[in-house]
Order: sequence, then structure tokens, then C-alpha cells
Amino acid sequence: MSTEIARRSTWERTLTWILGRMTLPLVRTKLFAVATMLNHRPSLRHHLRDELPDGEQVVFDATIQWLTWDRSRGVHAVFRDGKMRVGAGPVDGADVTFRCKRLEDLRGLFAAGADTLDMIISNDVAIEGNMSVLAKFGHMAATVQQGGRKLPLHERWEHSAWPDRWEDMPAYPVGESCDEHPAGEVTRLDDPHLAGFSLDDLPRIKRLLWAYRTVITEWCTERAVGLTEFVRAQGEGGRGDGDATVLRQARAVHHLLSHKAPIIHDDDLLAGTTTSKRIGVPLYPELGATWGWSELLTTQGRERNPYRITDEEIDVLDRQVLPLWLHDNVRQWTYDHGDDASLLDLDARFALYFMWKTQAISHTLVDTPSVLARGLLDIREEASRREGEAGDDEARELFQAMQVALDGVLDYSARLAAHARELADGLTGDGDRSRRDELLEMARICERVPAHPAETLHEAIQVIWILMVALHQESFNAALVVGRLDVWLEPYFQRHMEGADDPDEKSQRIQRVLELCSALVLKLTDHLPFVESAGNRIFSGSSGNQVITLGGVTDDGGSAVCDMTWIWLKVTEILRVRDPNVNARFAPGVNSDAYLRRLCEVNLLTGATPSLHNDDAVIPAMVEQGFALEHARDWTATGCVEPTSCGRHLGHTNSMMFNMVAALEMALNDGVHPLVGEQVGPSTGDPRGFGSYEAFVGALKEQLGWLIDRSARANNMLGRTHQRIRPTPLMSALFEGPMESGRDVVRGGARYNSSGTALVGLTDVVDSLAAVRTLVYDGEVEMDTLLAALAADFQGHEELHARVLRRAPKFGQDAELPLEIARDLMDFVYDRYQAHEHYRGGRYVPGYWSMSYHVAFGDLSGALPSGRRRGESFTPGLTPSQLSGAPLTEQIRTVASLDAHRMPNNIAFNVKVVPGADDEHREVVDRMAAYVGAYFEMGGMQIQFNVVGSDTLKAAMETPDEYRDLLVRISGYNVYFVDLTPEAQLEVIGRMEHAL
Amino acid sequence: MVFFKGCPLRCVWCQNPETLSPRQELQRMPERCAECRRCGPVCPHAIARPAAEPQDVARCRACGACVDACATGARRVAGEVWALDELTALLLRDEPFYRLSGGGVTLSGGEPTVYPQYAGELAARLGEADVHVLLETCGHFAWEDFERRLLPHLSAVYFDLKLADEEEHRRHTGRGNARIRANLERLVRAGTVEVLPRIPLVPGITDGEANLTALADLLRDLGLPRVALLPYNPLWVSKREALGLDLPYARREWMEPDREARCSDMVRTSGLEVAG
Repeated sequence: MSTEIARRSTWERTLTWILGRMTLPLVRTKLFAVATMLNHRPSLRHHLRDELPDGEQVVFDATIQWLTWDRSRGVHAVFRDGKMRVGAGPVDGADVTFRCKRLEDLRGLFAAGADTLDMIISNDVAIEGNMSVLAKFGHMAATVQQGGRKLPLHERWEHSAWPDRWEDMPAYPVGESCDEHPAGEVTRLDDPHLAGFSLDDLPRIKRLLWAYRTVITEWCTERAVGLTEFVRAQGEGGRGDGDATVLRQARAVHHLLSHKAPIIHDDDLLAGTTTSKRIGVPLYPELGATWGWSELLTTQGRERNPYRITDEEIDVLDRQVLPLWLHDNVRQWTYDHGDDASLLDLDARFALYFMWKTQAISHTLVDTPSVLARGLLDIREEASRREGEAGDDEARELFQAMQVALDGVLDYSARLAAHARELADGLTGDGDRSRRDELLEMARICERVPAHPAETLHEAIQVIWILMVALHQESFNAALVVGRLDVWLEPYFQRHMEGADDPDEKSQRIQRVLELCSALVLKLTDHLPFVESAGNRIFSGSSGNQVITLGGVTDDGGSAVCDMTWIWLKVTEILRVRDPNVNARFAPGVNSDAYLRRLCEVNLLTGATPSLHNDDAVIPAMVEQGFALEHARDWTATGCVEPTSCGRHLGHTNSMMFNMVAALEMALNDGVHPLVGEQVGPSTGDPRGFGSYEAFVGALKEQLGWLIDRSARANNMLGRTHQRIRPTPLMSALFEGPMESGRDVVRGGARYNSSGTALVGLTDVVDSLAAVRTLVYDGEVEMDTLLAALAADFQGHEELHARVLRRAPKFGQDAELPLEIARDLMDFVYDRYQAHEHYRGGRYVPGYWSMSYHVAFGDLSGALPSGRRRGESFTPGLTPSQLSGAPLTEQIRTVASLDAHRMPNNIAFNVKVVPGADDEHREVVDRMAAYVGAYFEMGGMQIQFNVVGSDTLKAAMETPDEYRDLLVRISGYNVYFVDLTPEAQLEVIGRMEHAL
Repeated sequence: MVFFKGCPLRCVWCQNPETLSPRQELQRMPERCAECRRCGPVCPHAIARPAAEPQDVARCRACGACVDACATGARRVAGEVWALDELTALLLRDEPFYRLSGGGVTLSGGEPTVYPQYAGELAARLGEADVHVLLETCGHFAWEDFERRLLPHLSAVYFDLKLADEEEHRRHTGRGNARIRANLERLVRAGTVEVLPRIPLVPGITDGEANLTALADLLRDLGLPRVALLPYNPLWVSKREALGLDLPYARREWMEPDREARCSDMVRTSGLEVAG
């Protein structure tokens, strides 16, 4: 060592020592400064003690502490009686505790411009306790630091990337016409591809699409303010004591719907909106909205997915809304009342599993066909009758609550009708006549439905829309499914087309159908789920994932493809929006090849949608889970890909995202998760001491099983909270099951129950095990050497890295070992989950897809025996790794050979294809159809294509404004590529490209 | 694609030099070599050297000991022995792809007609499963055996023609072209399968106007209206180096598009259609 380095090193050590001694006093000083401002500056004092307009006093009462990792030293702040006090050392009874791995992290937390979030996600800082208290403190600190000013809109969003005039927006290319008319699948369409229609033929839709593309998303306070008002008016009591809660919930839904602004935008054919904004983020303070507290001032300045907010809205949320929900939200209620809060602390480490029930029980759909056929009045009448016959209090209260909730929907619908008339009355000019007629027709429709059965196509579509709006007042806007819109709307389409024999008349009526369906799609884009900044990193660009499912078989096994199937494919082709997420079912031997080719054509044109599913794999897997055959045949995709039986199945199919690689890392480290930095799982021994491959796999399974058990218990615990404080009477009224059972759907009242899990990183674990088996137990590499290489991220171990890459077989290649390992692990996961009791009755069903968690979890994981380096993304969904280098046919054979019965929550098999520049359109379509057809014939469950080359994607990273509508499929859901984080963008670019 | 190993010709630009010899051969990829020197000690003939260094290939019997020892996959043995049953089963796994894409199995090489019995039996079995079987051939084979064993089971033949001049042909491929021309004529006359003649465009050897015109005339006389042109690519060079073979023709550049276009024009001028 040279003397200079020695000197510097001594100096650095001295500096570290000094800073170490000074850190706690420094942090305390900073906190003192915050306290002084909050305690004494008049404009800030309301953060600690506030008086609402009605005279109610709101006092922030909480304790927060910041500690060293071993909890021995630290500082704390106590908020009480309208004062903030700062003290040294840990305290008892803190609401929230920060623990920092290193003292410099603690200093970093209080540094100007600190990236607290990154420190939390990367586990340098661990948080235990009440996240909402933390968010409230974050807002206060941000207010003190930024002088209460919100960030301006990020410069990227100052100018629209779209033409200033809607007319100048180009229409997308359309597919080729088709002269095939597969028997039973086409009845009234001369060209099932409808190649004669483009966006330019639907000017109204073009205007609506332009509006959607150019508007920036906004926070919408309507729901949060309404709910808060309602709860304040109720006063204390009643909340949390199970049985009375359902009525209270119904009254809340009724309050929201009967106070909701009736909105009809220019050009709208469908009345009503999810939020009061053009594109709004509705807030659910009883779920996760308090997490956004700390970001009131910042979401507007986000480079990706910004939300606009006004100063008034910040003030209302900060002072009137959010304080009420500080403790009264699902996560905190579970934390305070659940049987094991440590399960939620594990969740907050981001690296192991992610529980969605802190945000919602969602990912399901109601029995829409029944509402279309019966109308809400008939359903209300049934509830009323059953109330009189109810055998117990719970049932009686539920039936009563159903009526209250349904009345809310009817009230909203009546007010929409009145508003439409009002708007019509305001239009007196001659030029307004056609719009006036439209508004009067909309008024007529809203007066008739959803109260009564729908008779026309327009009425049916209005029913579907108003149900979505109403359900979103009750349930979080993530993955509420729209459903099988082709099958359900076909009878209305047939009626709509009756008597249209003249070609011009026929063409006009079809154009009207395209217009109505497109209008619904664009309505569904009017809201986005609230995603705070951590989420914005993890699943950036995600939308509501409101699925529309097409095709497949009918209840009796015949082809479900019908005229409306082709209509929806056409709508998908001309609009190219990320949400609703279009999924297509294909039943080999039942659905026509022409239909499969059309699916591929639309996928080719849109680049990313629809996602393709095999009925022959999904339906048997559902039957094994206990579904009657006709109910399994009536399935829709949910959220990303997961199957749900329509209107009778509460499957919360994305109850959790589960990191399989965490179990592997824990097995390699005797139960310690390297990033979390402490003993997480059971001690399974030093891998150097394992005498055999079987012992190694045994340790992995012990860790995996341990994590599965925790995740199921956490889900059950959160589910019970929903049962206690958040029943869903409106959804229950519209579901098959609760009328007979007298139980709310969250209390197990649905006909079928389950929770779906998504396991992330299977390929990475399989490839790792194959490498360990081949190189260590069947080869001459020492476990010690492998562990050293992993710790060093293969730096200095290039030869071993090359050996792993070239000599160990990989999943996706023609090799038996990885397949054996995959099957063994899937059997284990399946058995372990299915062994768990489920809080609603029903089962846990595993699936293998990853949203964008393969990027997030990958970011938090070290180097793996598979050869994947530290921080790199895992493989998305259930897809061979690009390290496998396997050609598409081998990959298809491999994935297709897995048993669908072991992955009943479905998979996402991501394939990126790039047609050659000179390839003929039809040839490419035929080749895609051949790959899909062969994959399905071999038993494959699901496949999704991104049809885009890396050159385009790289260009989109460089000049995002020119590619704002570039769609890609991540692992199950669609996003606009430019809304993704750079990490996720690079993951998509890094995927293997297959020529066609 | 099934590549047969072994070929009667020795075209200096051969795209698949690892299929020239009917024997198994050692291939060494210097760009993957970490020079860990594990290959040396395991070699029974004591000749194995890291791929990054020269090695005496003549004495190598391709036993594979050094391949197993290599950490980085820088060595492999070209050529595998496949029993007919196993190979048929392997190929039939992809039957749905063939059927749904209108594709099938291509017998290529090397030269499949060197093994008329094996290739014929394989083609017959694939044909029983309704799989389309395409033969790619250099045309240098014994007609009677071909006609009896292989031809009845083929769906189509891609027949390569290189040079019209007998002497030139001998100079660049090691053999004259009389038998090739005779075989093409017989094949066309037999009329049992679709035949597509192909001309590899090798700069400085086959892409001259005189040669292309002469080949085009020959094809036209046989009543063949279409020909495929295969523009030169240099990907074979590193493969030949990996085998330790000499480089009698070492052009490392891709063919220029306008040169390729000129060749197409010449053939078209002679009245033939160029298959896309």
C-alpha cells in the first residue's frame, strides 16, 4: 500500500468516526429546526392542531423514532397537544420506527434532496408501524422545506406531444379485409375484419381519443371528500363492529352516488364519469390514499405519470380528509387488530412479497348479464323479499344494505338523465339539433336503465358503463373487470341490425356500433389508480387493467366467437389504448383459424394486444379447482391474465406478488436475506455443508414454504379486516351467491371463492438450481467458490460465470433437467398454497406472471447461480431467460409442456417478435398464427407478443414525445412504453428478439 | 433442418464447412476461450490446446474429452450420430409447427444424397406423418440410388447450380459439372416433385455475366422458369477457422446490394423469373 493511500484511508476513517459521533446530534438539530417552524410559524401550526370549518378540532397525535439498526441509539419526535417535541434515544410506544443500517443512512434521510424512497426500497432503511403517520410527517417536512409550494409540472409535460387540432391526429393503419365467414362465428358482417372502417370514419371518437391523449391526469377529491363527509356526519361508533358495518357501507356508497356530480362531456354518448376530472385519480382514503399524503406537493412534478393538483385540493386533502383516516384504514386496522403485525412489516420490506389487500379486494367482476336481463329494480325487489325471509341478522342486514346501495345507483342514473335533459334544453340553435337529439336519447336511456332490462345496444352499453362507475365508488379501481363483451352484447347487436338489408343502411348501423363500443372503451380510460412514487417505480404506467375478454367457448362448449367479437377486435385495432386490457380466448378445434389469424393481425398492428389464452388449458385447470364445467367455460381474464368465472367468483386473483428468488437467496444464506440484512426465514444451514443436491433443494423448499405460509397468513389477516370494516353490499347485490347465502362477497358469500397469487422469478430459480446441480453436485465446482462468486457478483470469477452460462442447461432449451426442476417446484408451490385455509373458504391458486415485479424484485436481489448479475431484472412471467438463447420453437415446446393444472392462476409467456422489413403483412400474420396454434395444440396456456424491435424502443427512450402511444405488454398488462421507468424500459429492450 | 455430414464437392466458399467431412470434427471458438488450459491434460493424444492458440487438427479424433473439460464452451464436436427412430421422433415433436405454418423438414448439409438409404427412410417416415420434406442438394449424386430410395419420398428439391463451365467448376468445387447437369435434367424430366434451381452468388467466381447467362440459358432450355439467387455472406469464414482448415477463398465482406441487383437483372434479361 502506498503511503498516500494509507494516509487517505486514515483520514477517511477519522472522518467517518467524527461523523458517526455527530450524526445523532446533527439529526436532532434538523428535527429541532422543523419543530421550531411547526410550533411557532402561524401559517404552519395547523399541521399540528387544526380547526375544521364545522369547529371540530384535529390534533396530530403521534410518535416517530429514527434508530440505529440495533435499536440502541437514535432520536424521536413526539406530536401531542398541538406541539412537536424532539428527544434523544428510543422511546416506547412509537407509532412508526425507522431503522437505518448505517449511520450515514440516517444522516442521508435528513439531507437536502434525500431520496428517502430509494433508501426504503433498497432496504437501507426499514420501517415498522403506521405508514400513514409517516406520510403525514413527510408532508409536513416537505412543506417546511419547500415553503408549502407544490412542484410545477415536469417540463416534459408542458407541451403536448400531440397535434393541436384533433383533425391532425393520424389514424392508425388497419388490417386487410377478409372474405372468410366461419360458420356460426360471422352472421351479419360481409368483411369480419371491417377493413373499410378507420378512425377517420368516426370523427366523434377521434375527438374523444384526442382528448384522452392530450389531457394530463389529475387528483380527484370527489370520492374522498364525499366519504369523509359521510363518516364525519355519522360520528363515532359503528365502525369496525362487523355486523352493523354492511349497512354503514351501503349508506356510504349511497351517499357517494347520490352526491356525485352528473357529468356528460362534449361528444359523450354514454353518461356519467368515474371521477369529476377528465382523467382523474379517485382516492380511497380507507385503503391506501393516506400513503399519498407525503406526495401532495410532488406528484405534479413527476417525470413519469404526473398528477395535477390545485392548491385548494392540497388543502382539503391535507386538512379535512386525510387526518380522519390516519388510523382508520385497512392496513393500519390490520396492524392494530390483526394477530401478527410482523407479517405486514415483512411486506414493507418490498423484497419478499407484496400484499395487495392493503389496497383492495378487487380483481373480479359482477354478474352483468343478469343486470342487463333483469334491471336493478328486479334485483332490489329480490333483496327486499329476501330481507323478509332472512334467517339471521347478518343476512337481513345484507339484504337491507343491498337495497340502500342499489338505490344509490338509481339515484345517480336519474340525475344523469335530468342533467342530459338540462343540457339538451340549453341547446336551441339549429346547428345543435343533432346533439340535442342525442342528449334527449341519453336522457331517455338513463331513465330506463339500469332500473329496467336493457333493450337496445345503446342501453346495454350504458348499463355496463354505469355499473363500472358505481362499483368504483365502493371498490378500489384496480382490475375491476368489464367482462365478455362480445357474448353479452351479441343479442343486442343482432336486434340493432334487424331489417338492415340495404348495404348503405347496414354500413351505417355497423358504424354506429363501432362508435358506441369505442365510446365505452374511451370512457373506461377516464380514471387511473393512485400510484404513489414507490409504486411509480415498481409498476409505472400501470392503469386500471379493466379487462375485456373475447371468444373461446360458450357454456355448452360451442364457439363463442360472434359478430361482436370482430367488432371489438376492430375497436382494439383503431384505438390502441392500454386500458381496457383486451384478452382473447382461443379454443382449438372449436374457434376458427380465421379468428386466430385476426387475433394475430390485431396484435401485429397494435404491437401488444390482445393477449392470447388457450381454453383447452385454462378450463380444465379451473375444473380441477372445483368449478362446474359450464362455469369454467364462462371465464374472463382478470387484471393481467388470471381466469375468473364471470359474476359468481370472488377470486382476488392478484392478492399478492411473491418473490421466489428471495427463497433461493435465503437458502444460500442460512435464512438471511442478503438485502434485508437479517435473519428472515428459518435457519437451514450453511450450504457448504449440504452433502447432496437433494439437501440443497430441501433447504430451498423450506424457505419457500416458510414464505408461502407467511404470505397466505398475511392475506387471510388482511382479508378478515375487509370483512370487519369493508364489506361490499353493492358488489354483493350484483353477484351470484350472496342472495342465496345471505353473506357479503367479502365474507364468503360468492358462489366460488379463491385468492390468486403471482409467483415471480421461477425461471431464475430453475436456472439457478440447474446450474448448482450441474456444476456443483455433478461437477467439480465447490459450493464455497460459487458463493464467493455470487458475493462478488462474478467479478474476478469470469471463468465460472462463463461456465454457468455455457455449461449449465437453461429453462427453455431442449433439456430435461430444467423442466424436471420446474415441475418439481411448481408441484411444491401448488401443494403448499392449496394446503392453506382461506378466510372466505375456497383455495389459494398459484400463477406465474409478474406485472413489472420482475424488474422491482430483480433490482433488490443479488447475483444468482443462473448467471444473472446483481440488480438485473428477473425473467418476466413464465418465460425462458435471454441467457438461454433458446429459439422460439424450443421455448414454446418447453412452456407448453408445463402442466396447466399446477398454475390455475395462469401464466404470462412473453415473446418479442420482430418481423423483417420486407416481410409481407399476411405472411407475418400466418406465421404468428402458426406459432400460437402449435403452442396451444401442445397444451400451452397463455402467450403474449410484443411486436416491436429494439431500435424502435431505444428511439422511444431517446425521444419519448414521439412515441407516447407506443404500446408494450409487460407481464400481463399493457403500458405506454414511455411511461415506464428506465429500468423497466431496459428490461423490455433486453428481452430476446425472435424473427418471424 | 437436418444437416448431413459429408459432401462430394469442395466448394471454396462452402457455407457449412463443418459438414464437408463425413467424420466428427473438433471445432474451437477462440472468442470464447478463457485460456484456462483445462483442455490440455485431458487429451488422450496430448494435442489439445486452448482455442486461442493453434492446434494440430490432423491427429484429433474428436473424442470430446477436451470439450467436456472446457469451462467456457469454446470447443465443440461437430456432428452427432442419430439413430433413425430417435431422429424421426425429435423431428415429429415439431409437427404442429410444420402443419400450421405450411413448413416442414429440410434435408441439407453437407449432402444428404451421400446417404440415400438413411435419408430416404427418414423422408418416408416424415411423409407418413404428412410432413413436407424438402431436399437441398448440390446435384452430385448417383441417379439410380437417388431415384429409387430418396426421390419418391420428397416433396420438393432445391437444386444448386454454381458454374456453367466444366473446368471452372472443377477448379472451384473440386469436381466437374457434367453429372450435376445430367441429374438436374433427369429430375426435371421425372416431373414428380417441385424443383427450384438456386445459384449462389459468389463474388468473382459465380457472379460474372457470362456464367449467369449461361446458367440461365441452361435452365430455360430445361423449361424451368424460376431461379433463386443466394447472395454471398461471409459467416462461414470463422467456422472454417474454428475447424483449423485453410482459407482458399477468404472474402469477409457481405455482398453489396447493387451488385446483387445487377445479378438479378442479368438473370431476368435471360428470360428467367427470380424467386423472392
